[in-house]
Amino acid sequence: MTRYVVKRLLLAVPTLLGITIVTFAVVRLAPGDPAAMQLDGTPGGDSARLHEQLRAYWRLDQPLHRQYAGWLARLVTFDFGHSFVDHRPVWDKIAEKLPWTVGLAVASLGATLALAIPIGVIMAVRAGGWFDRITGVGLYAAFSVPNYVAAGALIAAVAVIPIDWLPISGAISDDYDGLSVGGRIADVVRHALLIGICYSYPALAYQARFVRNNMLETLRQDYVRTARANGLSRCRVIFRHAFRNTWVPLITLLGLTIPSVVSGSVILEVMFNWPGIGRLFYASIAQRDYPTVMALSVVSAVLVLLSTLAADIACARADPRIHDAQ
Amino acid sequence: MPNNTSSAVETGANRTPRRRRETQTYRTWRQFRRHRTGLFGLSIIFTLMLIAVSAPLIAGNQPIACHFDGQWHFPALVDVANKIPFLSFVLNKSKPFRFAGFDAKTAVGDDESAIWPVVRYGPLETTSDGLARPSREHWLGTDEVGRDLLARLVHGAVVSVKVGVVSMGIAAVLGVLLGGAAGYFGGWTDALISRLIEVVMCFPVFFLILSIMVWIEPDINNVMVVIGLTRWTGIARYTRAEFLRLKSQDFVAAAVVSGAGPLRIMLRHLLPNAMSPLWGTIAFGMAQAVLTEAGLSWLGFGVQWPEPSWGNLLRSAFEHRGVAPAMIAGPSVAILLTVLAYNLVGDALRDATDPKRAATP
Repeated sequence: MTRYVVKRLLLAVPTLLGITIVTFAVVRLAPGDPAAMQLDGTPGGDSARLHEQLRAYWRLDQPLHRQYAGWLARLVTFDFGHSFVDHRPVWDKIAEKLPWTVGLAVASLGATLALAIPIGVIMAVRAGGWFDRITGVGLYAAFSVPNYVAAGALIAAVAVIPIDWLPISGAISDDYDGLSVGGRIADVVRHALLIGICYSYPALAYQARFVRNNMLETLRQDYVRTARANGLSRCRVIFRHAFRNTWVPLITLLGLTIPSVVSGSVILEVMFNWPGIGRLFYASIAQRDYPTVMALSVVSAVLVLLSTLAADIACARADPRIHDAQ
Repeated sequence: MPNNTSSAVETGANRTPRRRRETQTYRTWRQFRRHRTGLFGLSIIFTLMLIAVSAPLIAGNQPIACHFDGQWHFPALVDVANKIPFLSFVLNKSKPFRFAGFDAKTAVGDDESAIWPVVRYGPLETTSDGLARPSREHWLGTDEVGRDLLARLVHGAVVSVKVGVVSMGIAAVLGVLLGGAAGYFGGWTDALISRLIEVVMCFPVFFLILSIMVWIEPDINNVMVVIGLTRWTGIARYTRAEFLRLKSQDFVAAAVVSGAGPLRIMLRHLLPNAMSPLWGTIAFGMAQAVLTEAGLSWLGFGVQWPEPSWGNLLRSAFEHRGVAPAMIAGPSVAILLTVLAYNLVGDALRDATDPKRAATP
C-alpha cells in the first residue's frame, strides 16, 4: 500500500510540471497584446504602466525558457508575485479565499454522498417500483437543469418573495463579529444553504443514478444470491456484500467530476457573491490582474490533481487488487 | 470453367439481394431508432436547428414576402439565404429594404399584401416600452431598452447551435487524432499524449477557458475554438482505448500487409470500428459546450452585448430580477431544453452502442 502511494505521488510530479507548463504557455504565448487591450477603457490605468509591470513580472529581457524557469522557481516557494491591482502578495489574496471554496465543496460533497448512496441503494433494491420510477425521472430532470440556470431562478424567486432568514448574497452577515460561536456557525450555514444546494444537486442526481445502476448489476451476481441463501439478513447482504463493490467505481466517478464542480464555482460564486476563489478569479480577469489569474489557474488545477490523487488512493484502499497488481 | 464461376456469382447475387453496407455507425443508428426518448431528444435538436436557420422568418422586422411599390420583395428570405457562406456575396435585398433608415413596418402598410414573421421585432430593434411584462405584443416581455425578448431568444439559438456543432467538431478531430495516435503507436507517443490528456483534464474548464479568453477578443468564433481546444480529452481517452483494443486484430494486420500507411489504417480501418462509442461522448460534449458558452456569455466573455445569446439574455434577466422576474423564464427554458435534448440523445447512443445495456433493457 505504501509503495503504491509513493508511486502514485511520484507519477503526479510530471503532471504537476505539465500544469505549470500549460499555464505558462497559455498566458505567455496566447496571441494578443495585453497592454493594447488595456487601452479599451478597462480599469487599471494606462498601458505604459501595465507594460512596465508586465516587463518586471515576466522578466521580459530574458529568453523564454529562463522566464519559465524563474517563474517556476518562485512558484515552488508560493511566491506568486504581487497583484497588479492592490499590490498585495497574490498568495495572501488566494489563501483568504481558498477555505470558502474548499469548505463549500467538501460540505456539499459530503451532503451529496450522504443522500445519493441511500437513494441509489433503495432504487436498486426496489428496481421497477414506484420509488425507483418517480425518483428516476426526477433525478434525470434535475441532472439536466444546469446549476446556474437553477441558481438564477432561485435568486429571482427570492428577489420576488424575500425570505428573511435565507440570504442570497455573501457568506456572512454584517454583524458577524458580534455573534457567538454558535451564532457564527448558524450564520455561515444560512448563507451557504442556497449556493450549497445549487452546487450539489447535479452531482447528487448523477451519483444516485450511478449507484443505482452499479448496485443493480452487483445484486444480480451469484455471490449475493449465495449470501442470501446462507441466511444472511437482507440489510447485511446489501451493505456488506453488494454495496462494497460500488465503492470503487463511485470514488473513481467522484475523482472525475471534481474538475467540473470546481469549474462551476466561478459562475455560482459570482451569482451568490460567495467570497471564494471562483469570484476572485472572475474579478481578477475583469481587472486584468495577470499574476492572480495565473496563480489561480495553477492553484485550481493543483486542487483537482490533489483530489484525483486522493480518489486514487482511496480506491486502492477500498480494493486491494488495485495496489497489489502494480 | 469461367462460365461456371460467373453463374455461381450470379446465383449468389440472386440469393442475397444487395444490401446496404452494414457499418458500425449504421448499426448504431438502427439501435438508436428504437429508443423513444432518444428520438424525442433528436427531434428537439432538429427543431432547434430549424429555428436557428430560419430565425429571420420567425422573428424580424422585415416581411417574409410583400408586394410593395408594385413589386414583390422577400427581405427575410434573403436574410436566411445570406447565412449560407458565399451566397452572401451574391444575394442582396431588393432596393428599399436594404437601406439602414428604411423602416419596413411603417412603410409597408396594412393595405399592401405582406406576410410577416410571427414576431414582428428584430433581435436588436429597440422600442419605447422597456422591461415590459409578457403581453400579446411581446410574448416574453422586453428588456431594459425595449427589445423583444422572444426575438432575441430565437436569434440567440443560432449561437447555441453553432457552438455545439463547431466546438465539438474541433474537439472530435483533435481527440481522435491525438487519442488515435496514442493508442496506435504506443510507446513514447502514448506516454507523452497520455500525460498531456491528464494535464489538460486537471484544469477546471472555466478556469482554463477564462485564462485564455483574457488574452483574446471575446467573440463567438474565439469562444468556439477555445471550447474545442479544451474539450477533446474525453474523446481522446475513448479513442485511445478503442485503438489499443483493435490494433492487435487480424484486419489491422491485413491492412499493414497490404501496405497501408499508419494514417490510412487509423482513419479508414480503425476509426470506423471505434466510432460508435464516440457518438455518445460527442453528444454529451455538445450539451457541455452549449452550457459553457452560455456561462461564458453570462460572465461577459462570450457573445458581446447587444448581440443576443442565451447566456447574456440570462445575465440581463439576472440583473433585472427585482423589476422583471419573468425575463428569466425564456433563456432558462431554452438552455434547459437544449441540454436535456443532447443528454437524451447521448444516453440513447450509449445504450445503442453498449452491448451489455442493449441486452438488459
